[in-house]
Amino acid sequence: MRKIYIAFCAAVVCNILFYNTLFGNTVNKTIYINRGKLETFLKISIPYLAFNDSKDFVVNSSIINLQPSQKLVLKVINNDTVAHQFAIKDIDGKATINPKDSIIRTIVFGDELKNYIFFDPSMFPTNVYMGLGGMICISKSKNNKNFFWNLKEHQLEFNNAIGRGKGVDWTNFNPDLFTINGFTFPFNIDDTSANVIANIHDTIHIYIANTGLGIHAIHFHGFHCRVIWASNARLIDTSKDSFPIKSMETMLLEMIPDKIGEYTVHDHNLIATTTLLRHPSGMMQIMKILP
Amino acid sequence: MKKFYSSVFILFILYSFSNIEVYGQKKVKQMVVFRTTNTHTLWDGVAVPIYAFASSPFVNSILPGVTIYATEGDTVEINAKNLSQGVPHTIHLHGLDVDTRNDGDPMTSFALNHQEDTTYTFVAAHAGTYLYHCHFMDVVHLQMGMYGLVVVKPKDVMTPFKGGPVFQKEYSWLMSELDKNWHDSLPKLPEHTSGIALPPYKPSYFLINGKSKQMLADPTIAIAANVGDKVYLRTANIGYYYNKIIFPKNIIPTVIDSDGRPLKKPYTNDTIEIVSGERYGILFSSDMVLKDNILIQYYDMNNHQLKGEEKVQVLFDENTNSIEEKNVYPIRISPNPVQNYCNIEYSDQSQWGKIMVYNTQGQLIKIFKLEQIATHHQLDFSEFRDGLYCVKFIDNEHSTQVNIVVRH
Repeated sequence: MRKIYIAFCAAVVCNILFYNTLFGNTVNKTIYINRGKLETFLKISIPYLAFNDSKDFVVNSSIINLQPSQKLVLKVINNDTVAHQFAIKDIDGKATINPKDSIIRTIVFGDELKNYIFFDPSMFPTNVYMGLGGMICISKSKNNKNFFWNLKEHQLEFNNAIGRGKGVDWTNFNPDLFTINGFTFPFNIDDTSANVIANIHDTIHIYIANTGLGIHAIHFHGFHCRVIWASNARLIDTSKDSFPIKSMETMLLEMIPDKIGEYTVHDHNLIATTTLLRHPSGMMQIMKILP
Repeated sequence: MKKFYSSVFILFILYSFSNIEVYGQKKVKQMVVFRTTNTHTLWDGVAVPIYAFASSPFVNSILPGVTIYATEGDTVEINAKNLSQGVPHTIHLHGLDVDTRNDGDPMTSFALNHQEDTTYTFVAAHAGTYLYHCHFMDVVHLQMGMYGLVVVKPKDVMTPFKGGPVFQKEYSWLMSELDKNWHDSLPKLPEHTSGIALPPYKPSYFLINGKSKQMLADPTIAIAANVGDKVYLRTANIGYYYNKIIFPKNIIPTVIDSDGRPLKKPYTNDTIEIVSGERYGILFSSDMVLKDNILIQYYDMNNHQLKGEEKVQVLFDENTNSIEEKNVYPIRISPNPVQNYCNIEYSDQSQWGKIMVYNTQGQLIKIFKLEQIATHHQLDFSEFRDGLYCVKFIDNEHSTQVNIVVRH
């Protein structure tokens, strides 16, 4: 009887694995390396790069959503005029992609809810600084309200210099533009992937990646959040209102709001709530919790 | 039958009130006045203009503002009044998870103009360390000094949170930086409006509780404890840089709570990093006599450059406070913990002129003047908050001290 039971279980598991491999548990995705301009406060624009879902440049880099244990078949096409590299931090080694060429990466992810950074590691940190950093998110429930924040800071003269092919001295880095998904407050209010709008008692998951160079200190008004995943293991399973996230780190926060209202979330390094030293702007947004 | 119903009704009312007594908590009231007219003197004697909080209209504002204390479960009412001659202000209750009305962010709530007042309310639901600060043009008003600590204590005051480890000494460090150029130029700027342009941020003073350099010998900041004592250090960062708190090699600190919540997995490290807006509770001790410094470093969050350093002395000595060592004139205190009154008994007739009571922050709370020579006195602690106090007995030639716990 015991043998029959074990055989039955093994058959079920194999069947599930086989089914998932062949049907439905593989996600095919194509992203493009595009060159363009990031337009900001006072109509100033700076050279920028991004991973996009199409050949058309948009400032916010792709966010790839997967279910636990799914296989990702990712095609990366270099739509730029110079060679780039591609890597997934902590997962995958780097591969070079020549102009107009492409690579295909196949990765099976685990069942842990977390997020990964994919980026261009060539001339580090120059290309990731110029915008070539995106996020792969493993999310379990489609019932959750999921939001995605790719944090970055920029120094306008650095982008202009790099755009002209010149080098910069990173020890003199003093950023004057701070963005979430490439947008600075208040121009981020239409970014539905980032702007938290949810109902009271919803389970909200916020996937955060820092593809910038500095440390960000994200402070939530109104709520503590539980850390489900963080590159800094000491933060996992803590309940906090202010979160440090270092360069090239990721974090997954869970928030279950117990009251309605509008609540600000922002970098508590308040210099990051400015653009070109004008306030209020920069790395902040207003969460809306509805009845 | 009517009597029966009356009796049941009365019993119900009594039962209801008994529940209120059991579950009801204290109401804590604190006044906070917004002022823009005072100055703050730095370690080198330089005085800079500040915006800051005062605890009443009749006292000067200070940097940082007074620490607001509450006990877990208390309802805290902060009566805020703006007397700042034209600059709007708010109070943001940082980490206390209040609703939009009490949040103090003018983008989602409201600001107070000159001579306006309001009451901000919160329930002190979780023991821990929190912040309060102005959120109107916050990048300016925080730099100008409008910030302070909120400390919520558990009912058992000698632990950081319910069920937490017992400590003997408690300190609070609130880290920040100060850019003199901002202080000198910003108050002269036209009325603050949206889109204000700021000077580059280049702080040259690095503060703990508003102090630096030799001022850090302040007994509320410098750590002095007995060998074997557990010291609980509340740390908070309200600056725009991040701090590294580096302990000497013979002290092994353990981080036990953060942002008002106990850590499920406390961790030990000789260097504790704390970014802007964060708070950490750190427990440490020494099993040997030790005199050393804790190093506090200030790093630019954007480029990781070290911008400043401060040192705070830490001293673990043999029985620095112990009753046996210093109490050369034996004194018996009972009961201890004290509920309302405590009896002081002396072995001989007391010559003590006065008894001074300090809190764990080293602040003088009350002076009892003793006009009679006697073998015992009774002191009234009924108006004291729950907590640990140092009671110092003083005459013309001698002094001695004992620790007491007040628990109502």
